Amino acid sequence: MKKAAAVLAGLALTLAAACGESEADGGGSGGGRETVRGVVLEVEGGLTSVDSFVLRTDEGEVLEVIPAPDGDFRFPLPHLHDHLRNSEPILVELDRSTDPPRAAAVQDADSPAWHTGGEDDAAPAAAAPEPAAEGPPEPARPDSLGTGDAEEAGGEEGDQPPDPAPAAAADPNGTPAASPPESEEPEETPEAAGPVIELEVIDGRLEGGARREAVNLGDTVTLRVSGNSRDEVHIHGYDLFVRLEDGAGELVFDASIPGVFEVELEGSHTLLIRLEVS
Amino acid sequence: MGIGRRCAAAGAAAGAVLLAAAPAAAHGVGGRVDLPIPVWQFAWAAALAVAASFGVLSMFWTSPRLAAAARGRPLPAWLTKADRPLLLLTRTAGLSMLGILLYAGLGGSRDTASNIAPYAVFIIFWVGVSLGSALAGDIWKAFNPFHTLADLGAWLRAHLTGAPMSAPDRGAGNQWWAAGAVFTFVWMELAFHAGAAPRSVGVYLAAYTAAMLAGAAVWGRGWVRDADGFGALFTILSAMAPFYRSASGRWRVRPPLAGLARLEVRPGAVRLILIVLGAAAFDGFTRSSFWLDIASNRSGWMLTALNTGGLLFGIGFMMAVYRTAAAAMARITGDPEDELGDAFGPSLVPITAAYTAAHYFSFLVLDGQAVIRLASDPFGMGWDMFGAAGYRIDYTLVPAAAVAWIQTAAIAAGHMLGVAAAHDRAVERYRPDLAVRSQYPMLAAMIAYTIAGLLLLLGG
Repeated sequence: MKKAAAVLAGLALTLAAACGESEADGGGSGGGRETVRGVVLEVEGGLTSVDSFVLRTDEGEVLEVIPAPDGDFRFPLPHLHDHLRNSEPILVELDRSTDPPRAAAVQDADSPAWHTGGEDDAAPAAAAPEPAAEGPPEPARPDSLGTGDAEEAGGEEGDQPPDPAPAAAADPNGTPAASPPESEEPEETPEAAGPVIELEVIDGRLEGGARREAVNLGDTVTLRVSGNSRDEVHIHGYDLFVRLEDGAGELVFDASIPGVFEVELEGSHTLLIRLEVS
Repeated sequence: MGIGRRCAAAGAAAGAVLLAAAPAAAHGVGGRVDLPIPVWQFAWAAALAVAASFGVLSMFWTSPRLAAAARGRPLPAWLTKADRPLLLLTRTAGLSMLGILLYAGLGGSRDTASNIAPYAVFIIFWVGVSLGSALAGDIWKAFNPFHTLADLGAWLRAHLTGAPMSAPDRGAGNQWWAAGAVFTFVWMELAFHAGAAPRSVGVYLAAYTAAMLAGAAVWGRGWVRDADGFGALFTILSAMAPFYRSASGRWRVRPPLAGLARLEVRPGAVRLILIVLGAAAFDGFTRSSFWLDIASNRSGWMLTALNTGGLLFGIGFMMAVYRTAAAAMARITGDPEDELGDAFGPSLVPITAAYTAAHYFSFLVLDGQAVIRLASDPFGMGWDMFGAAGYRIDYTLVPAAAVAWIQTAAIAAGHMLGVAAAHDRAVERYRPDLAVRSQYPMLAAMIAYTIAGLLLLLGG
């Protein structure tokens, strides 16, 4: 039960992160990009590099793609050979301004392990943009994680303006390649029955300085980051990442490994907290 | 998969800065440190250590025991016969490993997590070989690529010039070079802000190799035997191990600890041990919230400067404690302080091994698992040579409570063995009543080391 929840949740994270990805990069490059999902039909290149690959998108389009030299690839590109063999879909962020189009970013479409610590450790997460203002009203659904009902979690937000992350989570068959949301509305993420660690990161530093946070082994921990840093928060040991969109992000995970772990801003290697799980 | 994810995660960061990949963890690689030990366990271990100290004194043996036992029994002769072909194999392996690590460090992925060099050097080599040397024997000697390179260089020169090869055993005669070499290593690991970056490790290894070769070229290959800090440290640690090779080349087994009585302490060797001890203490200290407060808002060279200060303080503290004890002993016995410092140096060996075990045991068995994954893809190029590139560290392999027990037990045991070794050395040198009196300062130093080591395990 719990495992199923974790897998579903991992999927949700993948999709949510995919959204975040296109959001972030789209903003940086000024558009002309889209994220497509598809399977690999051909790979040109050797064991250490890939010159190009042929992708059949879910829409049925077949196109040859060249990896952008500065692309954001979530695995070494030769791993595409594996995708060619097992037909597992990938997500590609396409830059169609060139011919043939370039892949600005590539990642596994279905792997729940992406940016999470594997299905045992990973629990639901959504890279939730949070306004700097007061927190959004949280739905009183403390056990929604335990039930593993990610669909419901998304579905409950019907009265909210469109927010891509839970929507994608709610519909695993849908196109995960969401365009950036027009409005940054407060977004509800499933509230965990466990400790919540709030981190305010301003200009690459934790407000009040790095500190120690203690949780109990087995807790479902919510890590909520707000502030103004565009970076990624990395929980060492668990190897979980929270991508910060406009400085905010949230991750819910099971504290299943005892020890003291560093939680840092991955880009600048700034220590935020030491998480003590005992 | 794991590598790819980490590659990408670090890719963004590494693209901008050359030596950016420096995780905040003091020892560079790995992101997990042990939980603080429970206070009652601290009290238990500390009390045991103090009680044991007096126990050793009350059990008082009047004639040295270790020296008599140090010779041990010979192992079957075929072991000694197998030694030569085996040595060829191990030295080739050692040289290949150095080559692989140099290539990984200088040419492999810039991402620490997907490059084998930092993990192999900081965990398997520095911690693994240290503990292996103390528990089994001088394994590193069989692999030491710096010896091999120096020998090859000497052989080459002899063939080119027709001059005879320099003697392998005529060395520097002291271990000051070795102590300096070990200091540069712990500085890079614990103080330098980018110490865990593969390029740092690669540059360090290259510079170290070049320094060893240069020294061998100038002073002969025997110089490397003394100046190679790693080799010197591992040989010193292996003095407490049961297996050793006698001067005649025969493999022998002796009671653990006994070899300390025969350890030849050369000038610089005690400093070398104290540097390792102080470095382990500093590493433990960086986990305290006190250090967290002052270090967390520093980065780059500012952090390096702060760490260097902390590291020097840790080493200085250990040296000051030992120095004070030696001075007090000198006053009691009338012997020169320096001579006493060297004479009782071997009793620091079990304490150093204990510090290493206590602070790095879980680092070795948990974070060390990363090399399973990295062996399949040593350079972070997406290979999967042995099919283990997707291996994930099992952090639950050793329960947290077991780690705490191993830590406290190691410190307590190291203390007892250190006290015993010092006592044995004292009765070897002095008549019984003076031997007992001379031991009080050394006992105080050992207790200070032990309490400090336990305090560091408390963290908090």
